[in-house]
Amino acid sequence: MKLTVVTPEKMILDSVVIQELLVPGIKGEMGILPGHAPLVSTLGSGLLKYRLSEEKEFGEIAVSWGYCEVQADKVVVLAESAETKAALDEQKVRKTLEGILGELENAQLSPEEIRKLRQEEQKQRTFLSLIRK
Amino acid sequence: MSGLKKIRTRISSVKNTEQITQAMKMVAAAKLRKAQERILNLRPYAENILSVMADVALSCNISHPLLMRKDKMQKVLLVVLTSDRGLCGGFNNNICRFAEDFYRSHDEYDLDFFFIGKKAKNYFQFRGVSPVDEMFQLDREISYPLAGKVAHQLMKNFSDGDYDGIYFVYNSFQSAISQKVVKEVFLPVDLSVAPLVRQEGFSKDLIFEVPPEELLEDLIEKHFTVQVYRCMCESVAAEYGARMSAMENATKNAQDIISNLTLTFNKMRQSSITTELIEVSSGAEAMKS
Repeated sequence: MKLTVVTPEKMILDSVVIQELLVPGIKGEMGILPGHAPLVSTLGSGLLKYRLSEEKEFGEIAVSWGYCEVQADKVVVLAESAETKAALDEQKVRKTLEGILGELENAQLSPEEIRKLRQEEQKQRTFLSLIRK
Repeated sequence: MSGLKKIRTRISSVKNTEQITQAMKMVAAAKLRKAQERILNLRPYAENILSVMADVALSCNISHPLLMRKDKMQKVLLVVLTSDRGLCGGFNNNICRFAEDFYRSHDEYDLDFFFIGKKAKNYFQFRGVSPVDEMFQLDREISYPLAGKVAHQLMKNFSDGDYDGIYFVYNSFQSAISQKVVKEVFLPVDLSVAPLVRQEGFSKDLIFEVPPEELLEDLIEKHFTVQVYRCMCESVAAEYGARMSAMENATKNAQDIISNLTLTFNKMRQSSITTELIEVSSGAEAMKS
């Protein structure tokens, strides 16, 4: 089974052969093994875990929002944002998170803006959970 | 002597210009590399989103406001992408002229403009056309979230019925030295290309975690955002490419001028030396006799 993870700004994984995959679906985590039925789903914010063919350890990527399509022998993950642990800087993430929380205290926000900020908050929290691993 | 001095100052001033154009060329080349990378990074995402959309579209039939094609195009929004700064050859001129031609030759449309970049604004200001919206500093602030904001605004305008069609006019990036002005219809979204992408190896019984209609709506919006981001990336890359070749030509011209001037300078110096020698020797000759 081949896994591809792309975002509009970069390509994280390109057709990597994997044995097992866990994706953060919008309705909860989904496990995908080779031979899975074709499926399309929306992604939430969380950790995507994949296990390479020969290995026991899971590789992890923090993904937020997007889609996941499972085809006969490949999985394509289209994420709004995806970062590996190496690319994240804890202080920067904390600062962004504080900024968002500060903005949320502002009373004059439209429901749409609040929804966007909440999404952003969740994304940063996902980053933090990956950093702390 | 005064002629010689003039040439000397001229040479040094041309040399300064050459240094500046050389530096601008280097800067543009470095930025071009970054911009090119951006396009390459986007490509897999754009292709994949199109194929996912095709899969979903094949398994269900939906209508969406962004897909609705009106029988008669009345109100059209033209989004024109230029740069903020000049010194990049025909980059801005080509695109402005194209947009103006389109404006003059399509009387049947009720045309509105959205300018991205200062140059288009300045060009059309002289012609008495003012935009409904404008945006500057694209080359510095370009990012996917920014494209998302623009796309969101355009989609809202379109679904509210403000426009029957949204066209983009931009320089598409062919290679570092060539750009092509293109006009593309971005809204309504044309899904007819999608099924062509996927013909074999496709299973019709997809499992959907969310209702396919919702999913497709979402995908269409994403697809549009990606398109907006792509043409922004192309325009920025094309701008740097155009600037790089313009500055390279300028540097070459400066070098030509310098070598010509140096030649004249040497000739003049030689002739003045010769005159002086003749004066001295003829003076000595006169003393003898």
